Amino acid sequence: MSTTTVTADDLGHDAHHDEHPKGITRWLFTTNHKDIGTLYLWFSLLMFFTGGAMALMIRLELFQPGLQFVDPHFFNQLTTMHGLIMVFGAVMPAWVGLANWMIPMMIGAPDMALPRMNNWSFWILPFAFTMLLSTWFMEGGAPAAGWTMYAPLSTTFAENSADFLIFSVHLLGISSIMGAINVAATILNMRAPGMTWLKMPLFVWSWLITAFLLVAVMPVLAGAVTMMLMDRHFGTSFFDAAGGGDPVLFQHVFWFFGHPEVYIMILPAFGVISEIMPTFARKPLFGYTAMVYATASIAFLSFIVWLHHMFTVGAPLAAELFFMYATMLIAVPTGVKVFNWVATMWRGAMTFETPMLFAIAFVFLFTIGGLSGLMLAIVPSDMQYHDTYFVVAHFHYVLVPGAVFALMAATYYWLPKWTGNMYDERLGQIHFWLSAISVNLLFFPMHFVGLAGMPRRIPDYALQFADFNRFTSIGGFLFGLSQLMFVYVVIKCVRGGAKATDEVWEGSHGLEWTLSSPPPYHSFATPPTVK
Amino acid sequence: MSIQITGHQWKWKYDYLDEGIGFFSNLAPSSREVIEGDPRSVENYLLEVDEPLVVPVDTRIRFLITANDVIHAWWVPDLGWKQDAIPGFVNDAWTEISEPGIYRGQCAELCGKDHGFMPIEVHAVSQADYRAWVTERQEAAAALLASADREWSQNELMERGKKIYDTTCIACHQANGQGMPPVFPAIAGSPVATGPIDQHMELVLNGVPGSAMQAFGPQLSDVDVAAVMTYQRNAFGNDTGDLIQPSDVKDAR
Amino acid sequence: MAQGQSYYVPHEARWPLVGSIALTLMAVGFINFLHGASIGPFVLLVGAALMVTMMFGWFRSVIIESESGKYDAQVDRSFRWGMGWFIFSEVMFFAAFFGALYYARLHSVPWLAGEGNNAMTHALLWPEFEATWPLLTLPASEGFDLAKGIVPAWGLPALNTMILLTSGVTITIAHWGLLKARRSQLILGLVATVALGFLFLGIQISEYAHAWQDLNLTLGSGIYGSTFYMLTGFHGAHVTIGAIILTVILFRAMAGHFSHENHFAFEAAAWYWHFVDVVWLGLFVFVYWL
Ligand code: HEA
Ligand code: HEA
Ligand code: HEC
Ligand code: CUA
Ligand SMILES: [Cu+2]
Repeated sequence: MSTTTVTADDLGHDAHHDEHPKGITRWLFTTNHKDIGTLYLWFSLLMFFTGGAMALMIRLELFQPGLQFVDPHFFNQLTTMHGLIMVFGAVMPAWVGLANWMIPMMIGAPDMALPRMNNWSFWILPFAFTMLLSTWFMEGGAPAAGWTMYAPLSTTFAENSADFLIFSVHLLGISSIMGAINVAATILNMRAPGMTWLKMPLFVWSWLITAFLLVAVMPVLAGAVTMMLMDRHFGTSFFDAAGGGDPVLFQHVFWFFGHPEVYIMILPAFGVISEIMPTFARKPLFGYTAMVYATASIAFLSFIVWLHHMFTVGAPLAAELFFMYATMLIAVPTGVKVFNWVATMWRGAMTFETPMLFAIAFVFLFTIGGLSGLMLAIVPSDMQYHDTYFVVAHFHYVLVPGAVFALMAATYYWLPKWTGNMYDERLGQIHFWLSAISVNLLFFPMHFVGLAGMPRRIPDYALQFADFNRFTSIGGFLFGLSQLMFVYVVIKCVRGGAKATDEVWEGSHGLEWTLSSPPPYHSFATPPTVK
Repeated sequence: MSIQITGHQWKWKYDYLDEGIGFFSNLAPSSREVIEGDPRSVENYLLEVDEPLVVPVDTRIRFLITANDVIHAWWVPDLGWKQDAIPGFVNDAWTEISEPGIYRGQCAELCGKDHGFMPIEVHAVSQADYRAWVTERQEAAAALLASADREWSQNELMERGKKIYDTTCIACHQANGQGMPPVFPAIAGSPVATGPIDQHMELVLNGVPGSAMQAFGPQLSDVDVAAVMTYQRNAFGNDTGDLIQPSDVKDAR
Repeated sequence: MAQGQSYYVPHEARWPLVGSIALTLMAVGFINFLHGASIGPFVLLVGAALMVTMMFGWFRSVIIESESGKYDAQVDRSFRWGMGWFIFSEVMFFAAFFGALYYARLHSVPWLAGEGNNAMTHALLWPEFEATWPLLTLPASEGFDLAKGIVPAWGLPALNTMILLTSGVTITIAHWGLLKARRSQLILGLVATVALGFLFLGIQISEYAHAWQDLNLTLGSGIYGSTFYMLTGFHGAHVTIGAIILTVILFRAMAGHFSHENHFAFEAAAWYWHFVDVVWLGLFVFVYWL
């Protein structure tokens, strides 16, 4: 652990905290963890709305049977780009943004460990997404092989835009890896004296483990798309049986990345919920150590379950069984987490401010998504559920009322700290209830159409699926509109409002609350001592 | 018995390995016609095909599943499984149906534009009915083979050509022959369909490598190629007046 | 706990944005090149030039800051963690390709020849095909460059193994020189390492030329050629980068940089070199030998 005094040196300025460059160059050249965090968060919101707009076009087309608005090829482009943008543009950058804002403040550091690289991690993203989104305007359109871009649909049979997809994935990978390295180095090297491993806040813990996952699997994704590129243009036969390869090889490599990737999107959410629950239950977190070990177990298991996305490709039975049981094992550490959150609330002096509402909704709705995941893990069941809307229901439950709700909870929770102003509690509560109700109207019926046999990634469906799809679409529009309210609340809070105290919440705990609201430009110029 | 199932963009091919029967199964025209109209006006919208898979009940059937281009997945929910159809590999699965009836399903792996429009229809019939169907099929195939040697009239060719076009080509080139440029070119006024016959023939038989335009030579009989080419050259205002005979196709192969 | 020591946070960073622009230009240029647009190579070159400029500029700032004593021990540790995690990410990148090799050899090729429950794959689709490794006759021959042979392990590859292992020793000798403040040992050790690195590359290039021209072993020779060139090619690219880094370190050593307690850049380069070395051992065993 560090024993040196840590003071921020704002070269050229004397270390005066609130002085920082103004104008556009402040954002372009910044090395400040809060500025970069802010950039990440706004960027992610923009992408959430971009991906959301595509989702709403999907829902519009699926509102009733028949093709009304888009042609099938365009529909596939919408689905593909919606998935890619939500995963790589909305959820992942949002978590990196939160890590940037919060981790230095939570561990008592002046800034991130590698501030210049931090700037680069962010500033790759707008370029990568410009490249990806520009494919909409190309001949043949955007990539249309699904966000999973299975070969050979994405190789031999794809449009030219597939190459733009490949290289934007490379850029996103570089960005994510650098972001993760930075988080890891910060946590490992920048903790204030006295902050031992088991005193680290859980958000920090879950991010350390997430960073490990990112560094371990983003290069594998880069390898997968590189093989795609080689097959497309340089005559290799990785995914071509005629040359001794196998299209399924792509799926193995992709899902070796893909499954840890879904935990990359959820582990920081677990961390956030573990911060919020104790604050509003006014009780310490139940089972802190167990939470740490559970998170680590989930991360470990995530490397040995990937075949559960491929139960129908014809893998040997022994492999299917191994991956089935390994997948089901994940329910145990995840269950530990869920029960610990419930136990934290048990007999707490609870109040229900907006962050807490989102956190509680997370626990319930994520569990629904987790349980449907467990149904998918059972090989013979998945033979039916695979590639139906049941899968779509599963992953939207874990991602939208899961990851996205946790992001909203985090935003409401820390917004007063970031801005110095309280958000409008009444509007926040309305936003919560609108979101919580419409999200279920949106995603719950998907379970039914999935079980009834509706395949995913289709622009049009048989008549028996019509009623539930109508509900889903209505829910989608309500949910989408409710998010406009979120933007309004955030902007209103940034621009002013009742002043927040340093502690903000009565039950708050942790180093970030010892700083002023808003905090100084460089978080801890002198390191606090953690008892 | 063994049935080989081959996924194509965007239709299924069924080969009865022991009977020497093989045919393609496309989305039924009745569904296709109303996609942009009133889907509620037809029965089994998007779940009906032109040529169903006919199988006997109480017989163990082995399916050998593969694909010709991209990955598809063959899925009839009532049979209890789905199996990916992977180009270059054969996956097997089996069933034994006890209830006669019609079982429907769909392709369950994203396979490109018309992934949502490649349904599956299985007719499980009694063993006697199955035998009768097989005989009828085999006779029809023989008759078609024989008819390849005679001259066909314009009307016969146009009629058969429209049928082939409306099942086999329509997904890409569209009912009105306008295609979906830039990816799928129009047939109406197409320089190929109104130009030299041998180039048109070459394109239909061998396809355009690296594009969705597959080689239809191995998929269609001489009669069918002649018919669909005649149709393309005279429908949609192409009015070239050309007639292509099955024997021309045979020579061109 | 020395007073006045501080964690150095640079005031602003201009190079990252340049780097992003460079990466984008390179990607867009390369894509356009692949699609046959004449502007492609030009854009690619501009991007690459910008990238090189960015590297010069960025590392220059870091070197100046380092030499002027702005970095304390904690900054040094951040760099070390950063480099360690970066190398881990590189390991995983290679793991993807080793995984592909493993899958092809132990799964897809035997399956195509009917192993496991794939008898029908063989019978219906590839009745002639027999599984061998190295795979010289493919399931389908049309459209492929059939290779006439492969590069045997116990020729040039074995020599290259010796060269890289030796270079691992020479860089350690250089490190000892640095630790014991023997500058000439440092410089000589580095010179030897760099020379061995480039010698390795030269041999690799002649091996490629032989394989490509005489043996007709190309990227289009099916899965053997695909995995062979991807693995050895990415490794060769890493050797090139490593050798360039070491060259820079050599020049810095000659300019009097590094002290026995402050020489992170040297160690980072050495770690990287050892990593490249270890990957080669994997290649030698799994690509050439077994
Ligand atoms: C945040 C993202 C996220 C998370 C956290 C999860 C979590 C889980 N997922 Fe999911 N999943 C996705 C995102 C996610 N998934 C995505 C995006 C896809 C589709 C990709 C695509 O094809 O496009 C997918 C697809 C997917 C499939 C493939 C389906 C198919 O295509 O056929 C499977 C199959 O096993 C699966 C399983 C699971 C399981 C077992 C968990 C477990 O981790 C869940 C564990 C949680 C619980 C079980 C609930 C809490 C526990 C308790 C309350 C304890 C008591 C309960 C018991 C002991 C039973 N997921
Ligand atoms: C974190 C990830 C994430 C998130 C947040 C979402 C959010 C949503 N998703 Fe998505 N989804 C995926 C990840 C995600 N999804 C993935 C990975 C796939 C698989 C892709 C594939 O198959 O390849 C998928 C697929 C998918 C499908 C299946 C498509 C198909 O199989 O063909 C559907 C269908 O309903 C859908 C719907 C929605 C809806 C309605 C939302 C809503 O929550 C969105 C809420 C809406 C908004 C936030 C929009 C607000 C905007 C406005 C109100 C107007 C905006 C105006 C302007 C921008 C000017 N998603
Ligand atoms: C899966 C999609 C698909 C199907 C089905 C299809 N085609 Fe095509 N067709 C294409 C594509 C794509 C092209 C453009 C090929 C190119 O030049 O790149 C094309 C081009 C053509 C052309 C040349 C048009 C021109 O002006 O360039 C003709 C003629 C043609 N197809 C005939 C047919 C016939 C006959 C059938 C049915 C028996 C058929 N096609 C079915 C996709 C399809
Ligand atoms: Cu065929 Cu989907
Ligand atoms: Cu998974």
